Amino acid sequence: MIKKKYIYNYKIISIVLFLFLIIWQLIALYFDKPKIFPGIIYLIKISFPSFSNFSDNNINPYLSSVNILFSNSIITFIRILVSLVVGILCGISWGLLIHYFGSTKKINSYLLTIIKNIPLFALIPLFIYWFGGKIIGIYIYITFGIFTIIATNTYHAVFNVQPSLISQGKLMGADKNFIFRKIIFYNIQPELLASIRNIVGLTWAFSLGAEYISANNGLGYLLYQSYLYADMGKLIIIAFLYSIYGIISLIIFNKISGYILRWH
Amino acid sequence: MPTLINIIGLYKKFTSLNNNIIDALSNVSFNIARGEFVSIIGPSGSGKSTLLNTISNLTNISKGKIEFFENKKPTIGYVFQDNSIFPWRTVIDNITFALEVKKTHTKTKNEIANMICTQIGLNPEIYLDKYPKELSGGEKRRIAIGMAIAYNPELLLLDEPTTQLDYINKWKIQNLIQDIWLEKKMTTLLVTHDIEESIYLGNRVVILENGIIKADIKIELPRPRKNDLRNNNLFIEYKQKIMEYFTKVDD
Repeated sequence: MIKKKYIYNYKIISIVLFLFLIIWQLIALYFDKPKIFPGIIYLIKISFPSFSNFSDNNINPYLSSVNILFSNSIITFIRILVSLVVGILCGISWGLLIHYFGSTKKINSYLLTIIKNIPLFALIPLFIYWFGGKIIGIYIYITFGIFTIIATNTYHAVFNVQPSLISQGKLMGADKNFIFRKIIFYNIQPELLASIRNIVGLTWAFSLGAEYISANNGLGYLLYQSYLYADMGKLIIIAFLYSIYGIISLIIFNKISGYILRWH
Repeated sequence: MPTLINIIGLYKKFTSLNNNIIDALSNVSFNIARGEFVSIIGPSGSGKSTLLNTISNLTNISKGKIEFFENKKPTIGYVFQDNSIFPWRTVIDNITFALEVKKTHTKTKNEIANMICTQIGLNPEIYLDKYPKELSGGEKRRIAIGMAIAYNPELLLLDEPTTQLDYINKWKIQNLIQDIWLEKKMTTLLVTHDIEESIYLGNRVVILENGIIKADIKIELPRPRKNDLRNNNLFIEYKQKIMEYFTKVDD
């Protein structure tokens, strides 16, 4: 049953994608301005191999382009993964600590609201000044974006914990520490994982912003360079790659969260 | 039997959202002997659950006193109205939660979980590794009771333990509660709005209405009580007596 359902879904996705590509090509043919609106064939024949311009080894432009895109994707992926782990851990910890130290709850929640409302893209020039060409700036930028969202969501999720579960823990002799670790942390998991799911998609956008700062590699760097030379073909290919990576990360995340929330 | 809990002139006031003062409990006084089974009955909003919460110290009292035997607060097992089993823990982990808090050895924990699971009428081999989402309403209620008795509390508080259950499961749970009480003889305080249940299980039925105790009726029915007792004349007399109190309140 499940297998049939998946095959059916994939069939629908393939049909939609195929139709999308056809329509795209038709529009491109209609306008006939490949520099502004390149068609699929132009993207494959001209734009894709031109990624080899970023490489010193230019014997086979297709292979060289694959190598360039792959290596820069890996660099971006590592930046995202490290930032996700650090941002999520710090965000959850801070969101929980605000409740743990009840006396500072108000100050901390206001602080969180202020930080959360700073537009992340407005920080790009600041980060350029603060970190210059240092790679650490990219990591801090992505981590900061993840941290603010996760911390805010954790803070709010704790308010939704079923009170009788905490009462149950208290009556059975659990101390504050035990209640936070064994009751609150688990009770907020469904809400937390829903916000992490959104973050996983958004992080690719954060990485793009971060690599705009001063990176000399990564997908964001390739995108920025293509933008400087108004190379629409390359811009579209990278945007398409971002979309694929976003979908893959969501599929992987859904598998992981399905395992974590097997009790839900 | 010595008195385990002595409640003297207990008041509990709440402030509503529009700043009105609501008297959830007004001058409530009664005592519970060690090993006694007391049923508290009353309609919704009569202060039954608030009374349990004040006894268990989950809610502060506004005025009055709750005295415990030898001034020592008893250990409490509480079965909440909404089950309060942890959905992310398997049956074994739920039953042994209190033992985990007390850092009991894993082997002992497993032994106790097996014993409790059998006691609450579930096969340990089938149920111990299940998650609450895989259980029926009646089974969840059994686990909640198992959780509450796993660490042998001196006082068992039951907040409408059979609510939302069908008749067959209701009777099964009532008999389970009675069996546990007969075996462990732990002081039990049951809150319910089911007149039959209060008579079937209690040694005394305390009628609570608008936060005030209206009556305290001693139930003199033999133990162990079986389901056919519900058709017994004395049982029906008790039922009518309690119903009269509610009719008076209605008038």
